[in-house]
Amino acid sequence: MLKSYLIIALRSLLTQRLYSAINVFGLAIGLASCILMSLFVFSEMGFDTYHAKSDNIIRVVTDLHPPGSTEQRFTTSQYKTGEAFVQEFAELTAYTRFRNVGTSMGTQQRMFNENLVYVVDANVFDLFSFEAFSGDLTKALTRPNTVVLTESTAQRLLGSTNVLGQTLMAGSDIALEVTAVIKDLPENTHLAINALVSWGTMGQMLGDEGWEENPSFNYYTYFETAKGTDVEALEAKIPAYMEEKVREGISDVFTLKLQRITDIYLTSKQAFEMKANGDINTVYAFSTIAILILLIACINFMNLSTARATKRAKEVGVRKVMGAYKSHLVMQFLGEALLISFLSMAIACGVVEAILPTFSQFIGKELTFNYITDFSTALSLVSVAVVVGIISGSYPAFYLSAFNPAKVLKGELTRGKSGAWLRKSLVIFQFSIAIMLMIATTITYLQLSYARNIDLGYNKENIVLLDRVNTQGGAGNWQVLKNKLLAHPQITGVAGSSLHPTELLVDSYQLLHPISQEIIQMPIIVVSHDYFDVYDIEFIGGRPFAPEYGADEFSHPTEQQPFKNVGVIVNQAAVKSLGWQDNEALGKQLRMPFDNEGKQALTATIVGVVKDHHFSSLHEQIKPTYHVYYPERFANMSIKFEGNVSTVSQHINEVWQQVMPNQPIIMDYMDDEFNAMYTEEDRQMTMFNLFSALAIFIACLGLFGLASFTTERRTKEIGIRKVIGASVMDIVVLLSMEFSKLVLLANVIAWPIAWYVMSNWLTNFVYRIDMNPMIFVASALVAFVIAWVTVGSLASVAAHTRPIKSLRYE
Amino acid sequence: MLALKNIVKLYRTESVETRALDKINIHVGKGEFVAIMGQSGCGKSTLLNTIGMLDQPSEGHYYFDGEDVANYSERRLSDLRKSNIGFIFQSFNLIDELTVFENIELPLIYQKVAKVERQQRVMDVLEKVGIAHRKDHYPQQLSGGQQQRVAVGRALICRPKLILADEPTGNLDSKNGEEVMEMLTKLNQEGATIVMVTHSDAHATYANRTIHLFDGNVVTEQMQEAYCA
Repeated sequence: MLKSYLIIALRSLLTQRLYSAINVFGLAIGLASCILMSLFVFSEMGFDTYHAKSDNIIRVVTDLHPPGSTEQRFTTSQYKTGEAFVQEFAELTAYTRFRNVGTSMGTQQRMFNENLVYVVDANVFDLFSFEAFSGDLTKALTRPNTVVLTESTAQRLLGSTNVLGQTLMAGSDIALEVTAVIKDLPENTHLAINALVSWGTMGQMLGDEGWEENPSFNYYTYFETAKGTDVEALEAKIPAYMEEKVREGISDVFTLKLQRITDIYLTSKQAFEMKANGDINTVYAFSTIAILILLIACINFMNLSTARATKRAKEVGVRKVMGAYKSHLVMQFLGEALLISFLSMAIACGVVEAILPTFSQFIGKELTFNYITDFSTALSLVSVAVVVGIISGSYPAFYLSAFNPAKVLKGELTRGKSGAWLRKSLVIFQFSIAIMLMIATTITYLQLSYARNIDLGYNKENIVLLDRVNTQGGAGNWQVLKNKLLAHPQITGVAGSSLHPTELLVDSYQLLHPISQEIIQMPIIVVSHDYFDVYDIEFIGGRPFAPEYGADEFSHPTEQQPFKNVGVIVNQAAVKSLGWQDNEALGKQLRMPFDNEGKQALTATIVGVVKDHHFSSLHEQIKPTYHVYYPERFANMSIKFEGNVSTVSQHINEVWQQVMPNQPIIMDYMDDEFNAMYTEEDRQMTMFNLFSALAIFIACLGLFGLASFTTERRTKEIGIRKVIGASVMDIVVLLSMEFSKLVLLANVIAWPIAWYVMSNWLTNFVYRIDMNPMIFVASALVAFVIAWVTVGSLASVAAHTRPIKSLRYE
Repeated sequence: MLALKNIVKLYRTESVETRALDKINIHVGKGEFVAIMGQSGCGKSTLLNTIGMLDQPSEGHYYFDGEDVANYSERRLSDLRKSNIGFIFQSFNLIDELTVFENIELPLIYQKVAKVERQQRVMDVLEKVGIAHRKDHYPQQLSGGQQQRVAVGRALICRPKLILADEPTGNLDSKNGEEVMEMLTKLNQEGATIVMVTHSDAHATYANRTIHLFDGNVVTEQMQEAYCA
């Protein structure tokens, strides 16, 4: 019997090639999309799970929220936090810390800029599962001046991975012995590390042996928790501890929070993450699309299978007359569905194999799809195929097996009105999803285009950036570099600053709010005389810093000179936050206290007000910011040029070699830095669009299925109508109108949901578009056109058939 | 009214050619009631479909009201059909989703007749075929005889010059069959030209003339006695 079923199933597939192709390939596309999405989603969700202790590692982070200031969230905390917490909380059994000390590293022959260098506690290898390539990790960082390198870093800096015992230079004067080499970190970790230096080397690396006196928040601190620790309950204890042990009222200024290591990549998104985080919302969005695509594909399968039912009616009748029970037929049709499902899954796996390298490259992630040796993947695929086969085959199976043999053998088709509402509901459901996706992709596209094309308020074109310009020789070298660069005729301006646009505004100083008299924190940018000119930032009042206004220069108060006057330039957001109008701020003075007793302070006079500009990401609101002239802190150099970039960059490289021969150059372009902020977003947007388009396409296949089903069922009616005078157009309009009603209903369902979801999504953006009803109307129109074209073409074929053929049909 | 000259209808499959009608010559005058008889597969329905312009002949000429329509396009045939010919089928061919009233009204909608006139004409026809009391029912709610009355009503609604009936009593019991035949006779007496395919000798006697087909050929044409006299 099984053989008979299989033969019938295969013949049925082959005799109705068009339907079979739509069915199998529609499902295969759906499955392939779903597999690709799932690979991405599982890869995103699997970050840091490979650490043996991943369930018991947490990180402490800082939430800084002084009254009257913008909240700032850091991934780092103070170096004493680790020890203090382990002593206080029994739930914490160990801690380990990382301090970033980006520096130049290498040999005396060749140095490299290394940003991902961390001074760490020796027990870092107890908590994290780093895989040793060579050396003994348990002892690797117990002595000062020892370093552990990743394989690729060892290869880059020392030309080999067999480097145990070799000496590596950090900067020009710190010698480090390589005591171990670890394998490169896998991609699925929030950690980004090239070199780990022993804790005892901290003073040398920071160039400050008194570093322990500095209570800075620069330390990534991780804890191992006792088994069964309730992290939320533990976190709730922290404020009380801080109030008691640190200072009363400290919770008003900052709080420490705990994060599970496995949650960091998708949910943290704080300042100073070691590498760019993912986004849980992206995972949700892609998971939803994956499920929707699969669901749409299953619905297609159901509709197309029932559409073919009329062709199978006689077979059902004969089988029943010959003694088949309904259960036999149900099994037969379910078996066919499973056959198609497995066939589709096989094709889907082939499709995924074929496009995975391109897809991985596109999304910038190495995804692996190993279903041959990975049992759990293979099992998942088989389970999905079975579930899809059963879900999509169950309705057709019960529908077909319920045919009345007496009627079908007489040539009367079962009218099956009871199933009509279900099929229509499924198409409405599919189209609702397609319309929602159309609306969502349109709004997403418009929003991202809008956000990208906002007037930034500064010029990002034709600017070259140099980093770490003040590490050798400080301000003196900076001036030499600047003068030599300006000698080139294409270079029209050179500016120095502590940060360049697109960076996070993380430095801040205290200010006494002139109205509330509260101490607030306001982000500060150190800039040179030419900064506003190089970036074309417009002044709405006052003047830039200039050599003739020497009194503007910023410097810290000292015991000899506890009170000083400096000049500051503020943006409009700062003026507003200080409680003034733009035209009132000039000449006003702000007090910048440097201690709690009021013994040292600066008086800052506002000498200029600049127009608001989007210094950081466009996702963030423009922050109140003030600028000071402080030549010692020019970490960056922004070089404005005109004409051919290659001759300019050659000149910059030459000048750098002359002025700072021992330090590798770090050169970037401002517009690249700007675009880099949105690369991930662009990729995800493209992916979202692509899969939405696929979902819409598969939904259209579903519509085609139902339309063909309906036209097939109504063949006789079409014939009758033609005999009594209906034209082809009458028939096309008749059938199209029926589907138009379904599409209309789908719109009624889709619009409010899309409105609600997308309104919420838009609230993530500080600068956002309004919800334009035209987007909804346009999506509805597209849906109608798709429906009309699909149904109209089928109806037209049916209507062109000679009526006698239709009437002979039954 | 209509004349068929050397009409041939071939059906071809990959390996077989079937000659359903073989050089048929028939003439039907205005106001005639013609019955077509013959064994199953002799070409009766093919002939009726050709006369009704539902099928085109492979060869020959078909004159309808003096015009040779054998090579007309589907669209022209459709136009000609809807204003001149009414059909009655053995299986009624009513549209299940429409009520009795709507089924009869449908041809008028396709002829773009105004709503008020449509309603009047449908009511007249409903009265005429004796089914007015069932006007809001759906076909499945009616007996076979009632359904065929609706089909007759629908065939009449456009006041066709020609009514074609394909075994109109084939699905009915004898009583209902007689009633339908009475109705057709009455229509014929009122001036309608009727061509009817039937298996029933008794029902063929209602016609003025009977054409017997065999293997696609006309074998005999026989006037009813009443008309021979």
